[in-house]
Amino acid sequence: MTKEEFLKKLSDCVVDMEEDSVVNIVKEYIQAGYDPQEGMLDGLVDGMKRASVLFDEEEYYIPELLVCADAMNNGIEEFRKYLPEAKKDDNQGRIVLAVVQGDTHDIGKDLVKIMLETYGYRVVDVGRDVSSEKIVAAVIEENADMIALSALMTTTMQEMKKVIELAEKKGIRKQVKIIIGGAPVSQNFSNSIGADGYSSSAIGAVRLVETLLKTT
Amino acid sequence: MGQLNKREITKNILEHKGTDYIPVMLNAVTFSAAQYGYSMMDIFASSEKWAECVMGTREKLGFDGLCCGNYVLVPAMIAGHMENSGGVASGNGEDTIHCLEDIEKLKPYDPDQCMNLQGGLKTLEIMRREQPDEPAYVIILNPASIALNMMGGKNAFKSMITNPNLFITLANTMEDMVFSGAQKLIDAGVDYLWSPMPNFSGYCISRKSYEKCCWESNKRFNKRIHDAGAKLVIHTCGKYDDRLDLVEQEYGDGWHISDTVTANIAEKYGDKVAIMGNIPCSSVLMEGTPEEVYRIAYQDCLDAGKNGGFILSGDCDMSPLTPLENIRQVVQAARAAEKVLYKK
Repeated sequence: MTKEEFLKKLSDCVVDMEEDSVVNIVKEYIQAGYDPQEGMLDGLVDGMKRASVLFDEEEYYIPELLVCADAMNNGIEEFRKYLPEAKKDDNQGRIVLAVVQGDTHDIGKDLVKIMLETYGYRVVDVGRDVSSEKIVAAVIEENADMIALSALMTTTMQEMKKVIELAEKKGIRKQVKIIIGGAPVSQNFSNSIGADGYSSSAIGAVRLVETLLKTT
Repeated sequence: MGQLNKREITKNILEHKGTDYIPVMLNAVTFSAAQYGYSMMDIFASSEKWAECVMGTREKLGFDGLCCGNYVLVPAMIAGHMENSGGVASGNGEDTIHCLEDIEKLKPYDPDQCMNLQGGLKTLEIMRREQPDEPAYVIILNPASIALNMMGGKNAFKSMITNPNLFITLANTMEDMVFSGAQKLIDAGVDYLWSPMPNFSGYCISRKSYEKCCWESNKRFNKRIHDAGAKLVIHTCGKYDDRLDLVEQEYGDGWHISDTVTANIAEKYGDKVAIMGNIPCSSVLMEGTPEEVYRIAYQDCLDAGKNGGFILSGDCDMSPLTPLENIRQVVQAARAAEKVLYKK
């Protein structure tokens, strides 16, 4: 198989949700002597980007996207065995990601994480139902560039404001961008609590992150 | 309203008999707790506090209906002892079922020992005594929704593609347990059960996955409620337009809609089910001006109320930050629309 055929095959494995067979394709690709970094980016990540387009077009839904992500991650895990150490931590920015306190709905957060990682960002996922103190502590510890907050309920969205207030109190607000998302959240709400941006979708969050980190 | 009280009116609406009154029923438990300075933990732990804030807020703002419970904690009782994905005893039973063998580790369910259910029953009793004419309802998760919680959202969604049998088997396993509690609520005289399905909308899963993994379970469970003589309002939380023909076969007496156009749903399904909704809780009820709230609420009434089969509501839970004046505008809009619709 040529490199291009391999890359297409890797990409297809992700889009077709072949979470087991992708590992064998990675092994064959490596045995053929091709570059692992290229295999990850132009094969696996390309497949995940195609899957995200299908998600945007409502051909794929959350279950399909999650299984695609599993296929991509299985392939990446295999590729990492062949990467030099220095290449493993490449990233375009560090983002602390959390579902705010009182809210346990984390599927949206997980989708955003998949998308951000697909596009090369390092995501520090501090989980769901997370206090503002824990979120801000993670930002300080990780020297993060951004906080991405999610809430699914009208009854928990006000917790986002508490995170912003605490970031200000701790003196880190100017060094970190804060974006929000989730079903009840809107651009108006984002403006009203002093967030830096809002996205209504996971892929939109990637675009927002790209834009905001470029301006810092 | 004639000689009928609000419970009878609500029953008529859910039976498509028509009325000249548009009840305003808001999902306002968290909002009500906040009005009284209570946390959700406070009111979950005390039927008296739950009843006090829900009844008091309703009375103060003039809307209708009382939520007397949130019957959602079956997993805590049967799977609280089981480890979740993090390797610790979950306590709440969530994210504990990851294979068919895990289902065999569930403890039996006894509704008489379920604090969550018993709390709801006690709250209902208080509300019946204090505000006997108000329709009272309980939030109830159906077996498929409970299965999703018990598998953990991520695992459950993946299972719909890689191992649908696990999801379906768990939902089937939950059916008798959940229904045994629902039967207690029905026997106690609750006016309707309100069943939200936020995880099965077009924001989350395809129509195909819905049909394959949830639909049969929903039909079977809801039919049991229907056959027990109770009323059921299905909350189609999220985008359901592409699967409402399936929901139509799920024995709901009413649909509490969201993320759709009220007039379209009323036109297509209004002669088959009662419609409830559909004021956006966040962008309109919470963030809108009183004038906007009034206009949208009034239009919803005109769009869906002409045959008397409509309950005005938000599109989901109301935020504790909702301005009180906006709620008053919703009630005024319903009263004004009645005059036009029913020549009152």
